[in-house]
Amino acid sequence: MKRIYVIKEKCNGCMSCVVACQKAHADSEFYAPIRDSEPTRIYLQVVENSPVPLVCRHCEDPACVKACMTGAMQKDEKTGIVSNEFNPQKCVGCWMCVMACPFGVISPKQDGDRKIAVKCDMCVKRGSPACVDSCPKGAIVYMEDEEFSEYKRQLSLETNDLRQDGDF
Amino acid sequence: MKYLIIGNGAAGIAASEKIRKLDGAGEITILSSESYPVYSKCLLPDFLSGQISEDRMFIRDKDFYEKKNIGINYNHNVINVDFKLKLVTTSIADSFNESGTTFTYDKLLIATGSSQILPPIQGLDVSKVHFLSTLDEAKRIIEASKDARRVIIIGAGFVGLEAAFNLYKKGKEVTIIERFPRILMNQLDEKAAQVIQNSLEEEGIRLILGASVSEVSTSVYSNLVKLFTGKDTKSVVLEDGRRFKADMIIVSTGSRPNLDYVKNSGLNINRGIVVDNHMQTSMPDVYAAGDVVETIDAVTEKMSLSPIWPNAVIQGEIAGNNMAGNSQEFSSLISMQNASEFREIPMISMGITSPAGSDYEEYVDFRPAEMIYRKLVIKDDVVVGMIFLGDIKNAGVIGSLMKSKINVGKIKHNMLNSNFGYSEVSILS
Repeated sequence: MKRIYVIKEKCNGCMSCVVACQKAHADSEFYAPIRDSEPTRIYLQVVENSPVPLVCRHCEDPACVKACMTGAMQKDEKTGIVSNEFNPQKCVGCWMCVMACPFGVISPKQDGDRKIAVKCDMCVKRGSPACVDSCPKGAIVYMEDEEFSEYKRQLSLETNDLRQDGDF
Repeated sequence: MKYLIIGNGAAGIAASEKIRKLDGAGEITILSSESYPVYSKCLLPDFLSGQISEDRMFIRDKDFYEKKNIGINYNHNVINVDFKLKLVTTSIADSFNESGTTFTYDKLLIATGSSQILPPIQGLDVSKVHFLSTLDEAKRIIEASKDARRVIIIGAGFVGLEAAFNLYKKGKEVTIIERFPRILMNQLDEKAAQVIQNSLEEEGIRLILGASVSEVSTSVYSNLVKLFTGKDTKSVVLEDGRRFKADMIIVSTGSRPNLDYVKNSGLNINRGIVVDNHMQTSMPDVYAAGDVVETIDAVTEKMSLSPIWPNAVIQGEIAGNNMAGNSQEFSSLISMQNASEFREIPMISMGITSPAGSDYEEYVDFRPAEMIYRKLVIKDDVVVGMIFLGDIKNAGVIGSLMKSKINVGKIKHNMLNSNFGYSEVSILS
């Protein structure tokens, strides 16, 4: 399946992905009015002084789907996308998925007078993931699994060449 | 292959889906003691308040059983299992046919869940109280609550508090009586319980803690009163002599696995059914999952019941896998884990929340003005318990560290910081 992959070495921590994610899901042209009301579904963390974008992996055997007690959280058999938003069963904000997700990539959102859990939906409505489209460094990519492993191999070759040239 | 599943809940359905995935041709039959397609018992409190309509209770699509080619038999109460003959006998609820029906199997799954216990209180019998274990019971509560003003709830665990809160939302005068000195005794520590308690009391729900009910009585005129006013008033008497009137009583003092039909069958049962690490019982070709089984708790390493939704699904899947011939081992889960929300305060707790003894380290983030209280309990650099109240971000990251017993010595001082996340955990291994 096509997934969002992160090449953390390329990330400079500019937060474009976070802003783009929030804007895309709030369907807003501007950031300021939705900054506090629309939670991000991609997270920028800092480890050992380096930025690391973190986003849902749409697991093969998702803990959030098993934990969901309304049946809203499902893994689409065709696309592989894990989401609680496009199914007849609805999220009630019980937080079982938040409790189950080992990556911590599900957040509560105030939705009218109730709360629901939100997570990366690969921007299915939009067509392509906003975080990927907005990254100025090419640190977030949207690729098939095999495509990405080939891409990563290429990257490491380039890095090695650079090291040998003494430019790295 | 003939698969028979007793129980149409979280574990039974998870098992049936797994089996269907692995064995397209096998005959799968589910027996349910109720008359509804699989629904979420965790949603019963929301159904009670009217926040959720009946059609939103169902966790699978309408054509689920047809589409997966799974036979579903409603209203079948299992009365006997003959493990030698591989024969299950049922009686059909609400029918005059007393002879019942029999089902044979090659592989059997016992997943009949649990029910609320009726505590031994003088004058208390099932005709006087309500439980919140099934959809039919919830409907009876809604019906009975129409004429009720004063509701007394005995037991301040999750079920009791959720019922209280949701009936309060419908405008009832709710009193909760709990014999322990605080609410959610098994899930929270004193401080966290106090935060929730304050919030419930602020709202107007009355809590009577550290008090045992000694008797439930009805007056000699109660039948007459009921006839004319529709009210079925009872008196709840406490051990210290205090009396409280109630038009309706809900009991939520704890649950017990539904195992009466196999009690004397020779099946190895402790507090729950004893299973091996393939979810197989002491009988050949018989598996069990969900609220009925005892498994090893990842935190305490002791055998325990674990009547919670996520664990039932995981156990059901493992049982289904093994029943269909695909060997899968059970790795221990955290038996005590709960997620909930009371009055806009989200809350997740896992493992040992009020440790006794000096072997434990505690890290606390308490911000009363923001209604945030977070605590980690650590033993020998391994997280063994947590409470996240008000801010539940990363609860699952902590849970995963607990379950896998990862040494967090390097990051433990940072785990309650706002910038903490999975990325920091990923460098540990």
